[in-house]
Amino acid sequence: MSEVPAQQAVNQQPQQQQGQSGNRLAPKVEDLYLESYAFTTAAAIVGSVDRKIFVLLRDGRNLFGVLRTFDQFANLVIQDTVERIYLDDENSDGTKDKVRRYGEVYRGVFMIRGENVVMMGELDIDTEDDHLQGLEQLPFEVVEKELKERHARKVKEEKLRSKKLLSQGFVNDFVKSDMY
Amino acid sequence: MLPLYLLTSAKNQPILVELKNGETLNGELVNCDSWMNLTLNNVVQVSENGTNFLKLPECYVRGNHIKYMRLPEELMDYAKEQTLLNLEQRNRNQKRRTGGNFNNNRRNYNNQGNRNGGHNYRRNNNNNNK
Amino acid sequence: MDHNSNGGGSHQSGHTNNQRRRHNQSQKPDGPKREAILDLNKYTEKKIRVKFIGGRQIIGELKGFDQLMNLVLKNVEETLRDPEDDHVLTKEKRNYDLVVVRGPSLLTISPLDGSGEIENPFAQSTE
Repeated sequence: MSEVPAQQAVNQQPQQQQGQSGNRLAPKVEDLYLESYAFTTAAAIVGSVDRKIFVLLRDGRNLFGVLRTFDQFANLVIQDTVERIYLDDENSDGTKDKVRRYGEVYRGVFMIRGENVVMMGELDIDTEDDHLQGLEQLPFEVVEKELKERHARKVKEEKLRSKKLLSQGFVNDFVKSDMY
Repeated sequence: MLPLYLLTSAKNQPILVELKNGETLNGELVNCDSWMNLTLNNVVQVSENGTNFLKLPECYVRGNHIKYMRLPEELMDYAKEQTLLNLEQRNRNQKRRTGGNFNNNRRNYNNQGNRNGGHNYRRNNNNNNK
Repeated sequence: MDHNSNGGGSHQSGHTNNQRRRHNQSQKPDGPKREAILDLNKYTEKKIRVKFIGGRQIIGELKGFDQLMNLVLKNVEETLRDPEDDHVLTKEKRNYDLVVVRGPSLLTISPLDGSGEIENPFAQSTE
């Protein structure tokens, strides 16, 4: 235990940690734990287990289901999942719709990789379907097709924009898979 | 049960994997590792636009490029069973050890203000301190 | 706090938990593995199809590999993609004699043997 004076000045705690005595560069065991776990992802999610949640993925999908389990990366396992696509007002020819449309399909058990989640939240099962009252439900395939067309158009637009901006020396930050 | 444990218990079951680029792989899960890399058998790969189909006897997929996976429903029942069994066993073991006295309620899965936010990270950290 | 908590079978007690387990009871579920799950030895000298992050696709003979899944391929043929749409493959190819593939940029690996294009296998028969 050489260099003890220097050590003790830095390290107020008595030598409880094993293998720490000569090695000032080793991580202190207390640094491995947080002061408070209240604001970790896990703490935020754990309250929603076995409850109905909604998840927004980076590709724009809305998933609704019961959260069963998760881990520190926010990988989620959701049961009885329903995928719903909302079509907002804009029509393909630029006109505005009178009524918003949506379509949904039952998917089953999902395991989502955490990095693809934009946001998630708990649903109140009593009021979760209230907002669907004023919307028109269409078959999922129809809605899916329309969404794909809108995406394709957006991608094309953005590609053109990127080119133009690039010619001026600007960079357009657009990732095709981020459609949320 | 953590997601990766659930995935490991899904071996030999059909699985649908969607990658970040929109391609889907439908096949039977052979193996998986802690990075979510997968090996699948009897795979049908569907391109992003849903028009091209490729049949592959085997495929290895990198975990970091997965968007999500869809698993069979029956798997959840199996997982629930397993968790219950383990819980029962642990309770039984603890009972034997402490003579029926659950003093500290350590095995409490229900996250009542647990300092670790409900997850026993300490288990992993103990190994690092040696 | 309770430093003894191991959240499961305690390793500290002298009696092993195995002795306590009944014959039919299941063990704690297997965790995910830490070693490589793909044995590339079985693909050496064979043609494999490799996809990259970013969309490139090649077919070549696997000559060597390492733990990080860097690969060495010979007689490689890259299938070029439509410049307009990254996902549409054209008939054009580009050939390379020797290629070293970086593990981190790999997306999928599959053997060429036994693979082929098929019609929609999910199509329902029309009513």
